[in-house]
Amino acid sequence: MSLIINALTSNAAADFVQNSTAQVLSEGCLKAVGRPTFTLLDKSASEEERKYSATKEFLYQSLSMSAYFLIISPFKQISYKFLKYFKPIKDLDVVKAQTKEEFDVLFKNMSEGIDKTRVRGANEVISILASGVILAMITPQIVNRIIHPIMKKLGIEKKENNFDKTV
Amino acid sequence: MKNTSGIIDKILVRIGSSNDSEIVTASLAAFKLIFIPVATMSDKEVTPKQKSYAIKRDLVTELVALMGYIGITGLIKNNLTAPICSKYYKQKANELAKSGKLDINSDDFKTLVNTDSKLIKKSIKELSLEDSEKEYIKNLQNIAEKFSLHLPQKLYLNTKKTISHICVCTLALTLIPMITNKILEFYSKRKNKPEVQSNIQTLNYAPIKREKMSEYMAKTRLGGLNVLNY
Repeated sequence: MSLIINALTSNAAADFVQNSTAQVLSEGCLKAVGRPTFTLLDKSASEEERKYSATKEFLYQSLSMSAYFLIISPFKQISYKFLKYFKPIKDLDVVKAQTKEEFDVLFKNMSEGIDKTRVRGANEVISILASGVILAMITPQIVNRIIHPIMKKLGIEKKENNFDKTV
Repeated sequence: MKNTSGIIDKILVRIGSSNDSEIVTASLAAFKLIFIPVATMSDKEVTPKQKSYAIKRDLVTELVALMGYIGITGLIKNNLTAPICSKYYKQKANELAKSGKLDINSDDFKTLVNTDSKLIKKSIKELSLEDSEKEYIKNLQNIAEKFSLHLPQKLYLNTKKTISHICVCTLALTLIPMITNKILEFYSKRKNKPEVQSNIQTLNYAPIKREKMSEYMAKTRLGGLNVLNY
């Protein structure tokens, strides 16, 4: 019990969950396991429907994680350049930084207050928008392209095609 | 224009002050609610039945996720954070007493053991505190500083963030897909109900017809095969 309380109240845990990357990755990994499993257990649909939906869900979640590592993490290195588009903070010195290193130093030296909170918030908003575009708009289109070759290789679609031909 | 700027400012301050898990995940669920079904619709190689089921499932899942992340996470976070903070101080008081750093009969020990979690929550939310309550929180802060424990405000925020994330993970792994299955099952049962009723009606009529036919067959001495075909 004391271990659980220590873990729940620790600074390390709070810092970990405060990070958007950690949030999306941990949630995504659990979804990659949970959602396809429950889809396959759904009794209201036929086997073909369940298999297609479960494969799509698994591929989507796995690709999302890769996309996050490959695109969103590097994107965070340049995300400070977009801060100037937020009207409430556009006049702050930290927003005028030319390099990531300069931005980090200026942000670290900012005194805790409403402006620092705004900059932190703007950074998170950029991260959420980028995640939304990559995870919800681009990744599903990639899944559409690769799902059928993968399903054929796994023998899920092949069976259906043979059945169609015989009928 | 001023209003838009004000709304953006509020969003920045809200997310910047506490970037809880449910904000990120709920925003992503909102994106997915629109764009994933659209992507599934554009898949041309899939059969209509598979496509319809996948779209239905995506929509229900993301809708349940959106409501779950905001509703359930918010509910659990608001009700569990303060009691856990109390438990933390109680546990630390006992540990300090065991190690001999704190006397069981001292006021500090009693304050830590009997921490009023509701007051911590009230002080975090900056609600109007009475003088005695302010004094209590200040005293608790001093004791925490003295024994290098988490300060009440920091402790509350840490716990809230961690609980929020655990909740989101639990929802993502089990509750959301489970609720989605139940909703789809219920929807499927309702959709199939009229067909079942019409089958029952035809079954009710069928035996009467068969009886009449078998009487007729007996009279006309026709073979059993015809009866079966009928």
